Amino acid sequence: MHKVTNHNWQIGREMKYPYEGHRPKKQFSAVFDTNKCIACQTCTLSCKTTWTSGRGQEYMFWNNVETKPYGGYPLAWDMRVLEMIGGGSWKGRTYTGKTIFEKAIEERKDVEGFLPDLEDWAAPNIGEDEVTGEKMPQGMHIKGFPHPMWFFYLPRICNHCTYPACVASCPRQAIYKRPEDGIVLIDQSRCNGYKHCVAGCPYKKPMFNSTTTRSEKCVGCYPKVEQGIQTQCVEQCIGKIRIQGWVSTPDKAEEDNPMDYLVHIRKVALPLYPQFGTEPHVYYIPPIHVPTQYLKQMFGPEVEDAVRIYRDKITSDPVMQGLLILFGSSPEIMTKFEVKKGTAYGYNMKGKLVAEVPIREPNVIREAYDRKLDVYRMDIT
Amino acid sequence: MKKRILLLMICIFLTIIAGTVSASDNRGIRVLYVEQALDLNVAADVWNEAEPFTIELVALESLDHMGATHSTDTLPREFIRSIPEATDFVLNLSKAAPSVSVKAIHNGSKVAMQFTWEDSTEDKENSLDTYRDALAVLFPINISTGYNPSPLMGAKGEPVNVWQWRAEWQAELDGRRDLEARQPLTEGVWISPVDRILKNQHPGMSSGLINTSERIEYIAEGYSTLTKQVQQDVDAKGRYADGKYTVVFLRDIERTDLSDAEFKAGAQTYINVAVWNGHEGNVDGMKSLTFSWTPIVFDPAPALVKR
Repeated sequence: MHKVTNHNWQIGREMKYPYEGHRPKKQFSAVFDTNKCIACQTCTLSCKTTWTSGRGQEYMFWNNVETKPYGGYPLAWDMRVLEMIGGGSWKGRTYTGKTIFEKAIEERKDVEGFLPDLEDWAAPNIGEDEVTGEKMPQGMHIKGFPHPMWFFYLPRICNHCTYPACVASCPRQAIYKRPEDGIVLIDQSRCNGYKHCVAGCPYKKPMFNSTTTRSEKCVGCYPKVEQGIQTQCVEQCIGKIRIQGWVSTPDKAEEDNPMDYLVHIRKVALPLYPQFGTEPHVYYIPPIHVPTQYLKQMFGPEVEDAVRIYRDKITSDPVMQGLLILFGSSPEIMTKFEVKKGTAYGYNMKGKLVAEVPIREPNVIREAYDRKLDVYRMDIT
Repeated sequence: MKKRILLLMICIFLTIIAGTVSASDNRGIRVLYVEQALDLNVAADVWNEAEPFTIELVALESLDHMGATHSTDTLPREFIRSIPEATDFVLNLSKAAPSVSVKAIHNGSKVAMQFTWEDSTEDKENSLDTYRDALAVLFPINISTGYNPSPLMGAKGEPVNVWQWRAEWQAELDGRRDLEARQPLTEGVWISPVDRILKNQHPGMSSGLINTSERIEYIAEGYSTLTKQVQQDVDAKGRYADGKYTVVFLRDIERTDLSDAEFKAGAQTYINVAVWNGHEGNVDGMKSLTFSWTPIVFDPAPALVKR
């Protein structure tokens, strides 16, 4: 229960954590654009067929897409944790409330958390597409942002946090964060099935396998990532809402790194519930149609600026437009990008060009009569 | 920290006293010599010959327990908040803890130990929100007449050998696992015919991925260091009947690797016992145990020849 002081840039201050933080050489991270997610669940199924199709894993969704505000897998995971840490407020960019580790000190625990009941895992799609907001009278139309009636989709994976609550919870040190890429893994040979990690993780991503009697979690598709290829859920996303790469700390942000550009430079991609204190590394472009009052609790105080940039400023920002176009344009992890003359270029870890995408698709007009083939086209408009 | 040092000092004091116990003193467990083959049968007649020795356990409250949805008698939160920060666990003397009845026999080459304790419910599923019953015994690695390692998982440089029997893998071995307790909404769930085909192709193989024979023996050198041994030399079997568990461990007297406890016919070593009650949400450090070693004395064997 001895706690070490570490710096968490997402909450803008020092905080206590059971171990001394060591930042990895490269930190696994991803950006999800919630404005584009349609909850087709392709990501969910790509992860499931790859990793969780075995015995005991039937209920597991290492990647899941839930509807906000009424959904959650497991049931009400975020609301229960927020209730436990007692809300909390921000003063500028500094979180003045308690993180799950600080609340735990009060309660003489390692991590403040709860173990979900069996039934909480039984309804991954609860609350899907359920709206909230004002009544919309007949004939009314939505004029602008935010929408009076709204919901949005929140796709989630393990955040491979800098200060993982799962690592802090395990009394046997059976969970570790890899120093080469920051991916957090549960050592199956050392796990004894105590489920402290399941209870400790505020995002509820470690899951207990009752057939093997060990806990498991998203592995960051490390076999792919080690080869410089993006994870299954990122690569398979049909809507191209996701990009995965390596994020730097704010002081070392590089303008041509896709992650750094969105997270640190433009600050349009924000961490999920930073107030938990784990420093998660899956960043979200917030939904611009949702009232920011709701979003502040989920993404922190900078959400208003992020929404404004994405909603209003993007039309005059070709670099950001280009970067957003690079989402889903290559299976390889892009560590460098540039936008020149209306085209976005993505380079892989070896510096090779792997994606070249025009921001504006070229307009091609096909004649009704094809002179070369001497035939009339029936399939043109 | 201070609390742990005090506890350690108490333990050392007690073990020094215990070190003077002789074979005929009834403050320890006697490993009776019998002239027959030993096996894992918990109800074998041979057990009637051994004298039971009762060990009273104390309930240990791990303050960190977050999953105790089914637990009764947990400490109130206001009390927990008043405990000094450096404390890891608390003895709850007002919480009911079982007493374990121990019998031990050996035949010169193998030793069998039988443990019986009361548990009102059989909790054999370690599933998403339930915990299972288990028993563990602890021995110092070497027989010594001087200081023994801490009976609470040993200490750095002072390893202990742990044997643990668990209700869920006994259920696995016996084919008695409960699918509905393990997955949400699985009543009437369709199980693919592949399952039956594979079971027919590999009879006797456990249907789970638990390698059930490899999880009994561990070594530990203090808290959080418990590691299962690569070479497993102990066998175990348990049974629940009439509100009681009975578990038998079986091992060669002569150890085959140096991570195993040293036993010797005619010599004395020490044992500590811990019990987990799944229904109470016991797991990890949340268990019932004793804080001092109990002497365990082997009868001399008539001829020191391995059979």
